[in-house]
Amino acid sequence: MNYFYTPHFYWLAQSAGDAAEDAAENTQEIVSKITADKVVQAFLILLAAYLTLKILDRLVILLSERIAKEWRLRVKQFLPFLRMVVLTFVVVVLANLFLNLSKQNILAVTGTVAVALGFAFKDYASSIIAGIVGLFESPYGVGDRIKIGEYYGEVISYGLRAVKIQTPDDNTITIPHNKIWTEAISNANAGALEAQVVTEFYFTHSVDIDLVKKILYRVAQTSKYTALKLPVLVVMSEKPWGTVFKLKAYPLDARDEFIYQTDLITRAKQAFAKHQLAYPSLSAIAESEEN
Amino acid sequence: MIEAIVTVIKTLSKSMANTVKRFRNWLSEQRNFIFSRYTSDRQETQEPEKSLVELPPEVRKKLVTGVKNLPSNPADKEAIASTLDEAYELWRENPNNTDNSVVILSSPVVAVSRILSETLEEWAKKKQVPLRLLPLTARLNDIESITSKLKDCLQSDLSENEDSSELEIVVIPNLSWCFLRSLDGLDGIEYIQSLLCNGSKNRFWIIGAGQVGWQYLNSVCGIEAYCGQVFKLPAIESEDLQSWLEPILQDLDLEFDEPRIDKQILNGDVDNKTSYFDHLTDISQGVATVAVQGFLKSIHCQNEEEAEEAEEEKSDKPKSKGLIAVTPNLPDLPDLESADQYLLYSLLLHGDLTIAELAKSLGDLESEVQGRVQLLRREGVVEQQDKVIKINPIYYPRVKQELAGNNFIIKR
Repeated sequence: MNYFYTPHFYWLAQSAGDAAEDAAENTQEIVSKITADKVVQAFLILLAAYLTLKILDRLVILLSERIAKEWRLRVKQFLPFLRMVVLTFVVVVLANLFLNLSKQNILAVTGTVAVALGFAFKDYASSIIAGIVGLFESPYGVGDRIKIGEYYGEVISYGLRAVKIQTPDDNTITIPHNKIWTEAISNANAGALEAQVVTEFYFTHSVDIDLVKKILYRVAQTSKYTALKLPVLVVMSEKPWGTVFKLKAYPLDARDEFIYQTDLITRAKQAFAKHQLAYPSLSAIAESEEN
Repeated sequence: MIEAIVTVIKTLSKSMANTVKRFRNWLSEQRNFIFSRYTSDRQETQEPEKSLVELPPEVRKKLVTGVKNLPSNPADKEAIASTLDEAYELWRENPNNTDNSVVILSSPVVAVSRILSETLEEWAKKKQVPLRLLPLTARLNDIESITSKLKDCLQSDLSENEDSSELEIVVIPNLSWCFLRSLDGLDGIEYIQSLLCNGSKNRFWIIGAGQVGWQYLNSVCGIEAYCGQVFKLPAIESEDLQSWLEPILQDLDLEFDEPRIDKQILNGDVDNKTSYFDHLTDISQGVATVAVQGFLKSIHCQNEEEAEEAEEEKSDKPKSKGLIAVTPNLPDLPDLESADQYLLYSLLLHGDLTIAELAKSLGDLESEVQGRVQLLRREGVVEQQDKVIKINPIYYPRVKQELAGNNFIIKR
């Protein structure tokens, strides 16, 4: 049995050796000669790219915060594209520096890189691809107020792999882009400066509905934060323990969301107290929950 | 021949000297600008009419008195009178199917009540109709009582006039005095709206209002639907502005600086004075009060060099007092925070406000508002007369532009 198999193994060993030699030759063909000069050049390119990205980040954010608010988000949302252009440029320059980029070589390199990334950095690659898809699909952009999973806040950075959001409590949360494949993403303003704020008020069933509605409309119309170009709306719903009024209005700047809501509640409660409007009793709520 | 050459050389040398001087001034301005970018301090006191402070006291007094005694812009008065004629005649011909009101809109930095009262005095005499002027000269301290005040003024007469066929013209000199952007502050407007719709058929209404306030009331109460013709005061023309300011100009021996080189090229042979007023009208966007402030700001005492040149040029004329009107310009706005923008919008909305009213319209504490007003007052953006705070008219075009760009409901 061994007799028969020995030449075969020999042949296999020989062919494996040939393949290794071929691969080495191919690699030599693809990878150009690495010299100290090239390494220094690459280092400088990376440094320049890093500095450019940092400068771009600062410049765009600074510019967007100084110009009129109506342009703020448009300028900010241009940043991810600029970053992508810089990164693509750097990758191309580096590839050109270290690789002999013929048509076949590009195919070979792309295939190898794709397989390597697919296995070794599956999630990382998924996030990067999701980030690129996200640039065109725009589920969120810089300056938008979004909710992913349990996290809500303003997008402050759109990176290569992840998005950073700032929560109302001033925490910065990093969420990988690949969440867009699986999670529902709620975007409050989708590139607009304004985001609707819904404020709820609760009353007993016997409350004077017209008076409450008039007060709520007036509260929104006379708030300094309200964007009067957009509609103000009061809607109602019934609960076993009372009536719920929802005041829907837009602040001039989505960033004022919480201070706006506070202003609305403060002034509305003052008016309710003046007119002695009755809130639902806790016992009624408890009873309704028991039932 | 030689004389002609000498004259040409003189002219050339003079124009070169002027160019060098202008370049030197420009350079120093740019240096100041660059320097100021790094040293700007919000606490620094800014004098909006610094040039006035530098003028000799007698000239300053003359200028201030001249401006104070200026009548309302005659072009505005004419335009209002013709609009009133047209609307009133239409209503007289068909009172049941024609709107019974005219609204005169002015810029929020122009005193519409003054223009209206000056115009209406003559107009009512001409038309032989009784005028009922709403007895308000400012906003009530207690804005919640505006409805009862309006009822006192308007409803008592309404019942008296209900059956009589006597015509009556009711004038609301400034609608801003009838409201405040607060929870109960719009009740007065609602009452006026009800009167406009269901009031006496023998009444014709003339209402003065600021453009920003009107736009706000329109989006909140839909006031335009209740009123008839809405007439916006036209932008002042260069010639009208010149003739309006003529009494002041006659009082001062004022020279007009050469316009900028680009204006010289574009305008050709236009004299300095015309070019000056064209530019002033342009930068003030045709708002009379802004133009007057721009005019005051542009007057300077000539320095020795300039005076010498002027003497040379006008050797045959009586000796100059050394006043020169340089190319007018509007000052830049300081960096405004969101809170400043809200405050400035509130001022534009109401025209003028006391601190208490301003705090109420913003929903803030008086102490907070007072602090912010102090900062803006130091910067020169707002001005305070007694207890009333207003926007400094010279900043109006820039403030308007800033607010329009920041999502406020204000037309550019």
